[in-house]
Amino acid sequence: MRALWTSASGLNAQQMKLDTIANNVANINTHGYKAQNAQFKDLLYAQFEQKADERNLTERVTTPGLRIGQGVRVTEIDRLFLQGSLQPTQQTTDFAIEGEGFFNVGLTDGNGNLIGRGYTRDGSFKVGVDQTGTSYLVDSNAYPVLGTDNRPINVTGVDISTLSMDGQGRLTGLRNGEPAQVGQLNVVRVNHPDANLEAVGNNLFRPVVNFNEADFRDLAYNLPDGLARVVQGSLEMSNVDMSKSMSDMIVAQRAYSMNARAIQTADEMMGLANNLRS
Amino acid sequence: MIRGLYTATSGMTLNERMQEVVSNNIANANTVGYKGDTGVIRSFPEELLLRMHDNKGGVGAENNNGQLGPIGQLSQGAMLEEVIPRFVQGQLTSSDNPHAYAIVDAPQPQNEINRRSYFAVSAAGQTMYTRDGDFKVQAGTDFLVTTKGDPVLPIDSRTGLPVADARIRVAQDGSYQMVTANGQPYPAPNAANPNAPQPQFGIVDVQDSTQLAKYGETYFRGGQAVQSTGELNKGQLEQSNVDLAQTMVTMMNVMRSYEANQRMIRSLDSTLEKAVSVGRIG
Repeated sequence: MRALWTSASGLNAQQMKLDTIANNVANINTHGYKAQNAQFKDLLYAQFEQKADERNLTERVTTPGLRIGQGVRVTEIDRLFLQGSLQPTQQTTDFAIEGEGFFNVGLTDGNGNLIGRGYTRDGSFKVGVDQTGTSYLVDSNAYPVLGTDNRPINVTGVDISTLSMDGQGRLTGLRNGEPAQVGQLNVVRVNHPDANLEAVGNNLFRPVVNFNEADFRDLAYNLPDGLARVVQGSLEMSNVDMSKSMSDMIVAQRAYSMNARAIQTADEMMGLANNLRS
Repeated sequence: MIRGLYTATSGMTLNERMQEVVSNNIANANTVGYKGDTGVIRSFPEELLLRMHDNKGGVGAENNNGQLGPIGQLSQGAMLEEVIPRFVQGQLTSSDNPHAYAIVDAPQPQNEINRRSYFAVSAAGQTMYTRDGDFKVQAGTDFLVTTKGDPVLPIDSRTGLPVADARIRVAQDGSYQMVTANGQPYPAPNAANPNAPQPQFGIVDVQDSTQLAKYGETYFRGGQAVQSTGELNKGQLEQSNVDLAQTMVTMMNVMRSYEANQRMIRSLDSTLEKAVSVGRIG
């Protein structure tokens, strides 16, 4: 009875959809979170050949053979990089990107050595101090935020409450009482982020293995088509749509129970076959 | 009597197949671009029953020339003859995907009731057709692909047919560029080749969709493509056209028909048992 496996694949797929929705809802208040969505496709069809007297009957409409489907699978879980709404916080170290682009952070190992670049939309930055007593602007995972020179932004001695930013991401503030240039925030424009980036957790994304180098461009402010604008004193909320998540959940749940009912029916049919000879 | 056993068995086998078809429809009730299947049940071809070794006269008796007299026609069961996808339009829903498209069919002409529009994709080395317009950008090449990862084929603006060696590349601003499979710009018609295809993003029509065979991945194969009459809605997706209420009723039907056939076999079995015990001594 293949129908059992067909329905079981349906249960699996809907379960995956429910998991995705649950993850979205759980992250509804995560800064810079981007909603995910599970995509389905039907499984390959089994083609049954038919005897000549069965396939050549008059009034037949389809081509010879009997094509019966085997169920469904999740082809991919994609991510929607739509803008989330901005929430004002009045913190001088909070930044939000309006438009396309990502903040650049340096991924470090346990000893503070840079091992790669990460991308994030979460601009709730803090001040972190390393072993030598130097302070840097860091993200919520304590990874240093990279400036346009690809180096961490040094904020040693800077009065954070005086930190201000111009339209090009250049940070200025009072360092030891004197006005000083602190650094310039790098905003990286990534074309087709759904194809070129993968999430690694902690609000971070990293390039996929076969990413397209030409799709990553530093300093999105200066690009002719750069629509990115960084806003200081605000944070980007997640782009999860609560009401859509809820209705998606109902649809997935109903589909799940329909598949369960189909399994039950297939099971009853097997029971009947089993009781042919009582 | 023995014949009846096999007739009822064919009914059970047929309903098992029907349950597979129904289960697949339910499993794909949320699959974008899926078309529900309908199973067509048909009785076995009727057979002529003849009377043998009966020359005592009466209707249908063997005549003097040794020709057998007919008793009548009998069909010995039923089978699942074919599985036809229903091509009716699915519900359109909005999508946030910037590369989401839904096809809306033009009204079908009287003599082409199964004329439908499709996207052309290049999959498993051949051109296939799909109604699933949930497209993505492929990492590395920036080609427009299906969620399975197969490239979407552009349509020749002059003939309206898919251009198998062309690809659609999504530019930085989201616009579509026509390129070859290597990512080079697609050559424009020139003096040496004035009839070169002029690809553009679009859809094709299949005049008789029942000639398409389901492949899986919501793809159809076979069939002959012609210039399209349908239209595209950007930002929308066509949902599965499976009607859950109707499917549920079909499933109940299948289940009860299976049960009735099973009862039939049991009843025949108990009758046979009586026949067996007629000659029992003691």
